[in-house]
Amino acid sequence: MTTAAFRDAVARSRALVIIATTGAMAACTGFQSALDPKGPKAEAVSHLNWFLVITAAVVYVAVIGALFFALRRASARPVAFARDDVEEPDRERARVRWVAGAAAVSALILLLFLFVDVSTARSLSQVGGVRPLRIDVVGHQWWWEVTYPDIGNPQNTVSTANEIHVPIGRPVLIKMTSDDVIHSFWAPNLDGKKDLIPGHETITWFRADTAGVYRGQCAEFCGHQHAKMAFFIVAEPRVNFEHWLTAQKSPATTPADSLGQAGEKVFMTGTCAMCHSIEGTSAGSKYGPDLTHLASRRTIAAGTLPNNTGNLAGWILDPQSIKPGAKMPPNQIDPQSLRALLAYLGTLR
Amino acid sequence: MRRRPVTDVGALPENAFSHHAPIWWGNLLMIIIEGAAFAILIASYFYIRRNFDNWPPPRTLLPDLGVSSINLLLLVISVAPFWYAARLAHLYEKASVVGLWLMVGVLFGLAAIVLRGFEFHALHTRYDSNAYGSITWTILGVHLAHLLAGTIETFLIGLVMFVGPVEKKHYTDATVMAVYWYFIVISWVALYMIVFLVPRFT
Amino acid sequence: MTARSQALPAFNDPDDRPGILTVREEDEIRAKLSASWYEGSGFVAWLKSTNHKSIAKRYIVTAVIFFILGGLEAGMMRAQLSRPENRFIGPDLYNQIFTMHGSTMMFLFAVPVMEAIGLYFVPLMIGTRNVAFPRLNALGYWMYLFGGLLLYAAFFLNTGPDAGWFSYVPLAGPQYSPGKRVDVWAQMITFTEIAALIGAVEIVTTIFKQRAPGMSLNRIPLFVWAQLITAFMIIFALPAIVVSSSMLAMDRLIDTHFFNPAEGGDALLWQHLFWFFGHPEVYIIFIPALGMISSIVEAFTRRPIFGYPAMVLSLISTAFLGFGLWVHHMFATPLPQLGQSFFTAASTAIALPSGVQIFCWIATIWSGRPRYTTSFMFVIGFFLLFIIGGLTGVMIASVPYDLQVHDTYFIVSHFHYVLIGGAVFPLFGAFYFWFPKITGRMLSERLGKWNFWLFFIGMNVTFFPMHILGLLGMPRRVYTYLPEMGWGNLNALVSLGAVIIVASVCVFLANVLVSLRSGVPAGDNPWDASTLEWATSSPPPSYNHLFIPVVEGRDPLWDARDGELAVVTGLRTDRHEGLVTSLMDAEPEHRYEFKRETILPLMLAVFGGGTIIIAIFSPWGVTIGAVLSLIILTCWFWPTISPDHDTPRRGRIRRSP
Repeated sequence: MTTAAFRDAVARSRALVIIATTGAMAACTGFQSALDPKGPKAEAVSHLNWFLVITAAVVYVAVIGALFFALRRASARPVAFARDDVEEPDRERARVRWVAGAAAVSALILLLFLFVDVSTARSLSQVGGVRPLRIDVVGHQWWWEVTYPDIGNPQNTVSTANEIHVPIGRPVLIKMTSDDVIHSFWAPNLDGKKDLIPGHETITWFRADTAGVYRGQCAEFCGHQHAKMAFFIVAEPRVNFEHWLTAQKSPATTPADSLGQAGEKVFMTGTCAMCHSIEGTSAGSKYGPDLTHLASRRTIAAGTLPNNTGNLAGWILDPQSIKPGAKMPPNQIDPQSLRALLAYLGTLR
Repeated sequence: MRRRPVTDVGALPENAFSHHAPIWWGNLLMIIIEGAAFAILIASYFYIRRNFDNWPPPRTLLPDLGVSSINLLLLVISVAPFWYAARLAHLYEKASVVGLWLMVGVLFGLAAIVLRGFEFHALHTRYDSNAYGSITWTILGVHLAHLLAGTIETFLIGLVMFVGPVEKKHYTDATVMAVYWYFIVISWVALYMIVFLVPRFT
Repeated sequence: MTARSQALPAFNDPDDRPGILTVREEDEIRAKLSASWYEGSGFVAWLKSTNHKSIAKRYIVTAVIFFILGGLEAGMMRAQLSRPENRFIGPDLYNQIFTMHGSTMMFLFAVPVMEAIGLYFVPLMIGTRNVAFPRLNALGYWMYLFGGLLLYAAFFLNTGPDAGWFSYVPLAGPQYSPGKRVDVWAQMITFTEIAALIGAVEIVTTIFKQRAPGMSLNRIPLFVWAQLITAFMIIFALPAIVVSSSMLAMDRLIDTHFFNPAEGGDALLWQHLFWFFGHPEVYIIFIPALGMISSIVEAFTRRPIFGYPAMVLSLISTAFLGFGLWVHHMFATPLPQLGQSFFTAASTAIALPSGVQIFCWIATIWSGRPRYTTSFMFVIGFFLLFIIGGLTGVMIASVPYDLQVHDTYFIVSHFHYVLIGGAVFPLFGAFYFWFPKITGRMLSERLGKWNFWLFFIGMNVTFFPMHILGLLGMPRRVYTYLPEMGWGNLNALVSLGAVIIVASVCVFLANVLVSLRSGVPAGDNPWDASTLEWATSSPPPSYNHLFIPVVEGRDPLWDARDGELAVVTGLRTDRHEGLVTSLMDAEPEHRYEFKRETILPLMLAVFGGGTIIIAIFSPWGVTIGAVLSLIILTCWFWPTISPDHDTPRRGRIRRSP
């Protein structure tokens, strides 16, 4: 096995890796991607990523290059046993200088990394400029409870689940805790993650600078349905956001048509009201997500399914087939009642 | 490969004491391991304390100093019979005399174990009341395990010294037992200060 | 034999020179040692063995079996994740499988195999006959085996732990993990931590007190330094998980509140205690591999490793720094920024000693004469793979960077590069290097090259795309993912890579089986290496070396190129006797008796182990088991009657019937 053949093979497999990487990089833009930043924090980390990756790649090529160079030169060495080489002591002293030099260069690169790391961390910890929008998030197995507190007027507090609307260009301050186990709030397009820990309050902030819908996902293993605990951040112009917030503040009203009213009756007299609350009705349980404005959300089951009648029907009848282990039990509802219920839920905008 | 003898070790002794003996090193390493465990418990104690505004928690009395201080004194004094037994053992004195002093040490150990039972009471909390109860009971309990093991081991070595057959290495074992006992006492001095004194200075 | 025989040899050997032991003299000693070190044959004798090589071989075989089981678990995960919304495995089983994979690889494979290779080769390399406490060594193996059996028995009974290999609370606490799954995990830890600590005590005591005369600390092989430093890391790190796993067991079994926030406990206490152990744990796995690399590079470049003092200091600094990094696993928790920066600095700094080692090895290769054996190829593979993992490690030392990639597949990729590249590749190199010494036969180089290339390619195809998956938003520990995430193609590629790794391991196993039967006989020193394990036969006799060697440098066999090895005479051959030397300069101090084969370690493991298992279900198990263990321990330490010991001046002696 010659060094040349060895190096060729390594080069070939590295080429394969580069092709795969480039192919994958083409998918860089996407939701839930740290490489497609839509806010200043994610952008800073994205820049940091490229700086670190490129520097690391240079270091790698240099060290591996030195290794292969050493292998090639040494293979051509005439002396079979190093200790028999009379010039050895001088050469050994030269090697000491080379190794010391390499160590010094490494130390400098590491110091540079450290400086960049710490200054990036510093700059990201300061909430910039304008007074931030305050949102509270409580983690549950396996959904996100989102509250927009109104300190001055508690009745105006908005409670929703799994979908967070924010105005673009304004920092958002999130205070978080968990109701059960540790979860982690992560929307990579906007920011790094922060854990939600029972018994602790954690705080993070982000700012969305571009309008769009950004997916996030729980990033700390939290049990059976950790894989399907997603959320969406809808970043929109301030006017749209204010519209949305105002609409969210209003309680539900009794539906005008009889089908909707029948559906409301199904909800209130059946098992639904045991876990879910709807503002403006007698259903007030905080065990499961607040459904007052269910119809305004893009997804159901914590980002697992698009919010449409068919998915909603399947979810209501048998959540366990979609999220085995979820806290919501299957519900036996006859088709007529289900139709009415879905009509009612459709009015909860 | 041919072999050239350069040293003959046939006349070297078969036994040694202190850091010359492998068993002494085994004992020291055990002490380090258990000392590290105590250090972790102490760190946990202070970590848990940060979650409380009042320490001990409300409606929990301060731990009594009476029986615990007597036990501390008892343990400190118990160093003496072990130290003396070790000194005799180093000189290969009569085995039964070494055994006797070890048994005196055993008596101190038994007394400490009985008093430890009262010390649990003196905490005025249960292990399942709250985190304060859990950590203080655990510290006392882990040290009690050391007291039990140490007392039983000392008893067995003392018994061997009485009953025999006694070899030279059993004298080394006796000295190593004394070192382990010193660890039990010193660790208790630290743990006593933390469990019984720290809440008074909070 | 107390002195060199004065009689003339019975025949004239042309190699005889004045002062050299004759073949006949050596044969005499060989016969006596073989007789007195013979442990018997048959299954019961095998159970009673206290020979460090037998015990180490058991450890290695058991660890490789767990490696295969852990690999099968990984294969199942990759099958499930090869397609979005796959229905091969549901969440409950998947969560058990990834927990089993991590726990198996970390607790049942990596640490035990690294310690085992130390337990086999350290006594040989330092010129002694057994480890300091042979019965304790046997106990360590049985505890390890029973811990592994406990875990897998529970798994096959659908009671395998499912809260991850680091078992975060409150998920792993009594409220959110009812049943016995997590209790099984906590007690498996008890078994394996005891085994690891026992191994560490053996390694330190043996290295400190039983080195060959002349082998001062600055002359011990770098492999031995690595084992010594690792043993100290085990001694300081394992107590943290001893304490924390016990706290978890108590919270679950007897309602203590260490981790219950409602009663003043703290979920973060678990993380601090676990990672204070957990970070040094990965260096406990990595540092022995660094020692193996030095042995292999030295042998296959035909020169001593460049920069011995720098290498030793690098190992020591890595170990020290390794204790100061643990918070980098907790950057997403609420910790003060200044504290986080400290851990960023330490996590960055630890790259430097590893870098120095790499530069020293490159300098060694540059000035040596390489031979491209399979063993050496695995070391080259180490450079190519570990450096990637080390560089991503420096990247994730940055808090903002880590907050994006923490708990994603980027991290999975990082730690597999450092663990497979940094530990498993050197381990395979060590297998190819030392298999001839252990078994007396060479492994096939042809199959070895297939093994290497399949593993190298498979490893990269499996783990490199994971860097990208993590940056594209794929979190860890998810049993499935939605098709619209765009992760499907990369995951399929990753799963293909896993198949290639499976093929590689199959080639390795085939190589082992074929070579055991018909491999080329190895001889004492097939590689012409320099350290003392190569001075004795392959496999070594039960007593290791015919005579304890005396050394004058770091490379005894290369120093002894005139065909003569200096040795010590005077040790008894009628019992298991070794030489104890001084700590720093290894001057002879006294003679030491190694304890013989006995069934007591197995019995203690059965009773002690039974206690631990009962403790999963009831705290009273501790009391019953303690009493039984006490009885066994009394038998263990009770003096046996042996002839010819020096007896003290006064004291009763009982003669045997």
